[in-house]
Amino acid sequence: MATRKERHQSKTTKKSSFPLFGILGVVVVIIAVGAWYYAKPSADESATVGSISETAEIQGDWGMGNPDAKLTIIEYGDFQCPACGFYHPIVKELMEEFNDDVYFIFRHFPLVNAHQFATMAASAAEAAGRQGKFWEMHDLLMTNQQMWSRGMASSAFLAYARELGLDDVQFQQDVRDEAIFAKIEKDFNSGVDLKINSVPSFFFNGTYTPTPRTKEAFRQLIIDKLSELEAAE
Amino acid sequence: MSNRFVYIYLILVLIGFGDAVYLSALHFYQAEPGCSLIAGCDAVLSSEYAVILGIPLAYAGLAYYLVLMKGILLYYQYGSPLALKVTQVVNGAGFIMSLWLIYLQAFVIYSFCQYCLLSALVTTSLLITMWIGTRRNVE
Repeated sequence: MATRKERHQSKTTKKSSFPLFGILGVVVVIIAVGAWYYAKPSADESATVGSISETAEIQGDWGMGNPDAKLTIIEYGDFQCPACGFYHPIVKELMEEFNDDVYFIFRHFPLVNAHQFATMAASAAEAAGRQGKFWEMHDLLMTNQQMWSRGMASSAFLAYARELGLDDVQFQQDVRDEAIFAKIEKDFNSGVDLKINSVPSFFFNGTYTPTPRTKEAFRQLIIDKLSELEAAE
Repeated sequence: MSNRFVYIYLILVLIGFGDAVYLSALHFYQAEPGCSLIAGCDAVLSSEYAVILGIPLAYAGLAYYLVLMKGILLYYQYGSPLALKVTQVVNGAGFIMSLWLIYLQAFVIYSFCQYCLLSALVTTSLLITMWIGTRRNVE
């Protein structure tokens, strides 16, 4: 039981804390509104990213699906980026479904500051590509991303090359080839020109398209685009 | 705990609160997952670990900082030892949760979410402030 003195003290403390509570309330509201506003995606985010003109095809682009399809999807990706790893099975599954209607192109956009093995992985894919196994290596790199991201990436890549039946010596020469690094850089620079700020970034017939969050949303987007293109004919 | 420590604690709680509002807004708007040139990877935010028992961690974080704020204010206002105890326990639980989340980011997801790390830093600073503040009180 509090004595009268204690009750008096407590009352005084309570009274003196009123300005603090007022200021605190205002600060809390300002912080909440500010942080919320900061996180809110800008309505016109896609407008800041450029479009790819049809002539902007990069020599040596890796594509799968139907090259004559009405819809071409270009992905700018990084083999070490977990989000790209997340979208890999989605894209793979959708490409099996829309193999005749879509042409899918993968371009390298390694975020070297965040992912130390990203460029090495890109060159492994390109080197495998020289022996006709780009997509096979692409799949292995994406699927095992978490494993080689921990370290020992180059020996893991060599093991994948062997798994794919590639010529060891040739592969090891190619992963260090300047021409391959130049191709990766070219891909990367094309992404920089497009003002890409994150990976994966998808372009539907050259137009930047915000990445759908789920496989179903991605599938629906492809269906919508295809019917849009059909209606336009 | 002296008023000085309560103020420091409160400021830290406000930083954590702002961080939690930001993460909650990201979750609410379901911002695109991806690795950004500037902000690094948001993969953590879109990973399966971002939701525990059906509750998004961002919202849980928001509730956590609000409980800390309420607790420290009750202590400041009424000097309630119970409020201080509850704040300490919740803060401690938050710290353990932070350690678990850092472990997940470092060894399971292999990708760090910078705003989640900020929250872990704030929680650790809160615990240290609480520890120093109450230790001085005892002395």
